[in-house]
Amino acid sequence: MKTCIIYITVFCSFLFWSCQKELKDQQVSHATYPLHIIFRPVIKDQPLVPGQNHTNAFGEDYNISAFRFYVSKLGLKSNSATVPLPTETKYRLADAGLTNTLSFSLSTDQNTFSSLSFQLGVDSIDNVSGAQSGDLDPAKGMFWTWNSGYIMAKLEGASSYSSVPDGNFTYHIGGFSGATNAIRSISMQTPGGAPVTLNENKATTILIIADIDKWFNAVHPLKIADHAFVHSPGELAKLYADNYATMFSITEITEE
Amino acid sequence: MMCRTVISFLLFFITGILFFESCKKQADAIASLTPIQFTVPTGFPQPVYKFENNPLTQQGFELGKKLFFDGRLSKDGNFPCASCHQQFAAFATFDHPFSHGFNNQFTTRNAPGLFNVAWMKELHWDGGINHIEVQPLAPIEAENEMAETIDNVINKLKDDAAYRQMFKMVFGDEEINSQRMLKALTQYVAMLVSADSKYDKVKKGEASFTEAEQSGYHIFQSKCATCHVEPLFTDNSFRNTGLPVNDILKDVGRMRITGNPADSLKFKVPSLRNVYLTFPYGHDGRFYSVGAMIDHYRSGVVYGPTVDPLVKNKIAISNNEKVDLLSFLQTLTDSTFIADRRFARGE
Repeated sequence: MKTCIIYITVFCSFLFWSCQKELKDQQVSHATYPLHIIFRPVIKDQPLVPGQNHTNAFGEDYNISAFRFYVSKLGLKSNSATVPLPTETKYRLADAGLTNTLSFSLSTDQNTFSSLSFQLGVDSIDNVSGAQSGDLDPAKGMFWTWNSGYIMAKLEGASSYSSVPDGNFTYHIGGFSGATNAIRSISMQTPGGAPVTLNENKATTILIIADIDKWFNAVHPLKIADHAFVHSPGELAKLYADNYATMFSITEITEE
Repeated sequence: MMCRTVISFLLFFITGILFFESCKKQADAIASLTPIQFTVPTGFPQPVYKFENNPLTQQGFELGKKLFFDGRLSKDGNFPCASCHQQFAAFATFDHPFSHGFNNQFTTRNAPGLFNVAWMKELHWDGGINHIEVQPLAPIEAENEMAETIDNVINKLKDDAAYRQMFKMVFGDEEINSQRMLKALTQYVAMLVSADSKYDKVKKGEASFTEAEQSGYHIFQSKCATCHVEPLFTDNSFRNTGLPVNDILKDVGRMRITGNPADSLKFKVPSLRNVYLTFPYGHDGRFYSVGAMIDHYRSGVVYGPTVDPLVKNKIAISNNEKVDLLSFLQTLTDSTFIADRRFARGE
C-alpha cells in the first residue's frame, strides 16, 4: 500500500510539473530594467497644440489637426549590437490626439545603452496578409481601402498656402514594396551620445520629441504650396518619409 | 493487485478530469461549430487563399452570408454587397455597365462576377486589393458605393443581438471587430466556386460538346487561351486590350496603383466563366454582348504604347469562327452555381 501511495504521489507531481513548465521558463531570474518611453509631438520647440499657427522654413503658415505613426521593432544599442526590446504587440499606433498612445512601459535585460531605435511603419508582410486587428485594425483609419496597404504616418492640417479649396493639407505616407518603400528605421543617440546605465529598481524614462516642422524641410524641401496632399505610395511619399525620419530625437533621460 | 487497480483507476480518472477541464473552454466554443471542407475542383490549381488562417465552418459561412446580404453595411441601408453582386448574374450586376451606389451615384467600373475568388492574388480591375479579406473595405468606404465608415458598420453590428450571438458562436466571444467581420465575409465569398458548367462536365467525361462547341473550343484554345487560361479562364494578369480611353472617366487602370506609365490603361483579365451571365463587358461595361466584345478584338483594337502585343494587330476570327466561338463560350455558364441554395439569401 505504501508503494502504491508513492506511485500515486509521483504520478500526480508529474502532472503538475508538466503544467508548471511554461510558467517556470518565464520566471528565469534575469535582472530586468524597467523603461518608460514617451513620444512628445512638438513644432520646433513648442508642444503641439491642435489648431495653433506656426510658420515653416518657407514662411508658410500652418496648423496641425492630426498626426499619427506606427512604431515597431524598438531596440537598444550599446557598443555594436542592437538588442530588440520585447513588446506586447508588434505595432503601436502613436496618435498625437490620444495621449495614452504616446507613452508606454517596457523592460529590458540590457543594463546600458547609447542609442534607441525603432521602425516607423508596417512590415511588408503585414500589408499583404488580409484582415488585421488591434492597432492594425483598418478602422483606425490608417489603411488604404482602394490600394491595399497601411499608411505608415499621417499628418493633416491647414495652411493659407494650400492649393486645395478647403485650405487643408493631408499627407498620408505609405508604400511597402520595392521602389515605393516608405518604411524607415529611426535611430536616436542618447543626449551627448554617452552610454546611459539603467537601474533595476527605478524606471528610466526616455523622452523622445517628434518635431513636426521637419516634415516640410529636412532632407528635402517640401513646400505646402507645392504639395497639399499625398494619398498614395510613390516618389513623393518617399520624400516625406525621408523628412520625417529625421524628426525624432531623445531630449531627456531621467530616473523616476 | 489492489494497488494496481487503484493506480489504474486514478490514472484514468485524473487524466480524464485534467483533459476535460483544460479543454473545457475551447471545447464549448468549438464543439458546436461544423467544419466545412473546401473542395478544389478537379483540374484546378490550389487556391491562393490560405484557409488554414480562417478555418471554414458552417456557422462562419452563414455569418458571412448574412453580412453579404445586409444593407446595414452601407450608409443608408440600401446597398448590401448583394446589390451589385447578384447570384443570377454569377454575382455581377445584371445588365448594368455600372452599378448603383449611395445617393443616386454610379460606380466607375463594371462589377465583376464573384466566383473562384479564392484563386485570385489581386482583386479589382486595377489589382489594387492584395488580399481577398480586405476587399470589402473598398466598396464599404467608397462614397459612390456603400458610403459608410468601418466604425459605423461595426457599431451597427454590435447593436444587433443576433449578430452578437453569431459572432460569439463563430469566434468564441461576443467581440465584433473589422477583422472578424472580414474573415466571416471571406468564408462566404471564398466558397463561391463555379466549376460545374457544361465545359466542366465535358472535361470530366460526363457530357460532350456539340460540333459547333467543339470547333469553338479549338478556336478558343488557339486565339484566346493565352490570357484566358483554363481552367480559371484568366491568367490574372493586367493587359491593355486597346480600348480607347473614356474621356469622362479617364481611367488609367493598373497605373493608378503602381504609378508606372508602363501599366497605363491595363486592366485585369476577367474570367470567361459564366460570361453569358455577366454582360456587359470591359472594365467600363462598354460592350453589351459577347459578340460585340469579339468584334472589338477582330476590328476595334486601338493601338497605343501599352497595348498588349497579343492583340495589337487584332485577332483574326472569321464570321463562321465567331459563331462557333460563341457556342463554346455558352458552355461556360454554370447553371448549378447560380441556382445553388447555399449561396442564396437566408430567411
